[in-house]
Amino acid sequence: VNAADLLALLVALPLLGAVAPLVLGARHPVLARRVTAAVLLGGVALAGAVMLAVATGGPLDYVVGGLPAAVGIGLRADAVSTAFLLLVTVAGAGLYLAVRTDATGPGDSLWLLLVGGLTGVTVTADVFNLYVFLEISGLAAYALVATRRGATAALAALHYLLVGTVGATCYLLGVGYAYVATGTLSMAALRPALASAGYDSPLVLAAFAFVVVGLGVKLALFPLHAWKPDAYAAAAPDVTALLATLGSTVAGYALVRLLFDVFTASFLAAVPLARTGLLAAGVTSVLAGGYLTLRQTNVRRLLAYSSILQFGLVVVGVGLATAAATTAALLLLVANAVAKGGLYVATGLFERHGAATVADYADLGRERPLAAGAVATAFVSLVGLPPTLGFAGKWYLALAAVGTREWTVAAVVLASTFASLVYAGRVVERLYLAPGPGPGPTGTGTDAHGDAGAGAGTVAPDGGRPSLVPGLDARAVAVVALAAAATVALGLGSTALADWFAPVVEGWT
Amino acid sequence: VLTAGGPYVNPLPHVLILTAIVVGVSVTAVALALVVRLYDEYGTFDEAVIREVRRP
Repeated sequence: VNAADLLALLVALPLLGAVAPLVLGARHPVLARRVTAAVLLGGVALAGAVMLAVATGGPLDYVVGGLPAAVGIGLRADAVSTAFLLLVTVAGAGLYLAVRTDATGPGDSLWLLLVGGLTGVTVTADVFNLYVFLEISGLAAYALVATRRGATAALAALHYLLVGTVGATCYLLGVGYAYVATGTLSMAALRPALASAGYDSPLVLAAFAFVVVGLGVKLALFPLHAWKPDAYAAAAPDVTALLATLGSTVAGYALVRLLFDVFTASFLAAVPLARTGLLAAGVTSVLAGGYLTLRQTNVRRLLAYSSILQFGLVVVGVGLATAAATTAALLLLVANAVAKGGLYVATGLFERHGAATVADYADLGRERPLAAGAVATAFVSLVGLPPTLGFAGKWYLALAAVGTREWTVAAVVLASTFASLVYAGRVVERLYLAPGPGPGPTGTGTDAHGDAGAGAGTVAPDGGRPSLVPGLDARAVAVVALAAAATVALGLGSTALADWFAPVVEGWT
Repeated sequence: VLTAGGPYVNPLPHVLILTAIVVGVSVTAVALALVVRLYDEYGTFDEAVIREVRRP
């Protein structure tokens, strides 16, 4: 098999596989779950094979149907896209196997469609297909949010759908203008065609504006952010974990890809307003996200607002457009995804035992030492302290801001660290220093593995409900611990990760 | 189309519009499903009433 053929298989497998749980779900629920898991794990294997092929033989290109690349629909995997591809497939499969609670046939179909759509976004080389994949993943996300019972989830899902559709439509309008200006939709062909159409052409400028605003909605930049806290707070915990890990992260990847592979850094150099606009949007998001995060009591909403701050930093990195800043944007995307995935799994775990607000987290550090330690580690990464990946991302970003003499940006990056320190400090302080609601039984969780054993049917020390799925708590703790370990390991290996991105990033800037 | 000479209609915009219509129909379908769920929960389509009910 030609390695490039794997790209087509990567996209086709989850999209076609999504039919299976829908058909099997009603009669054979166990089989449907197994097929879903097999499809997701198959995606991980394919992504691993693609990464290996890219590592040894350079970027892969595949044109659907064997048409000439300018006419056909292209798929492409380079060092940057394979990293996000691996993140998408591993998180999709890992969260499904570990913490998926209400696995019904249609729900699993949506899960596969979401993962399939996001996989498509990471490997597509065509701006219109990017829109289609964004909409596939978007529709699956809206429906997944609404699968939780109750009015709040339905309302949040409708809100998410309305805002998300406006964002996707803005992006499509931008693609339309780019097509009118150039007559092509392939990323590789658009790059020179946009340059020859002239960066001061109103069509090109409109295309840029609509694409950025459209993706800005998907990223939930301030003031286009309101859907995110509602959706993340209303969805089922497993769905929130998946969305928080991958949803906006992949949109962030798409923004980086479009800006540097389609519009290119010379567009930003030629149009100072575009660069200033990106920096202003990023800085506003950082400041507003930081302020709003401080006002939250519900931990899920707090984390959603913290994402608004984090994606603001990513956009700042994109706007600075140097090699270091672009690396910073990519590292911050990965860092936020890993930390948020772990943290949302932890909020789901704590919610099952009755703790949903920051105040409820009192004393959890003693009751569930492993989970609480992992949560604290993930927060350290969000704040951006060594030795985590979040630190590496902020370090590169600060270096880039100072290197380009953008002192305001440098100050905002520093300020974001203090804002993050305050909200993370509030949660960690509750976990470890606040007295519990009552005298808890001593001895629970005195050793590091004590809470991992709190599995099915055990009543939490605070008298919360017993967990419903056997072993769910133990697996959730394992995921949180793995995510925390990953932020530290990637932080220690951040140079290697930056080196992995370097060939592509240096070609961009 | 690739090799034949002479003027021909560019098929790409047609394909784009067709795909966008399909996507639009899907979005509408999901939106209507959500609206039906909201009606089941609140017994009304009135945004103001829903907002009133949700006020704590």
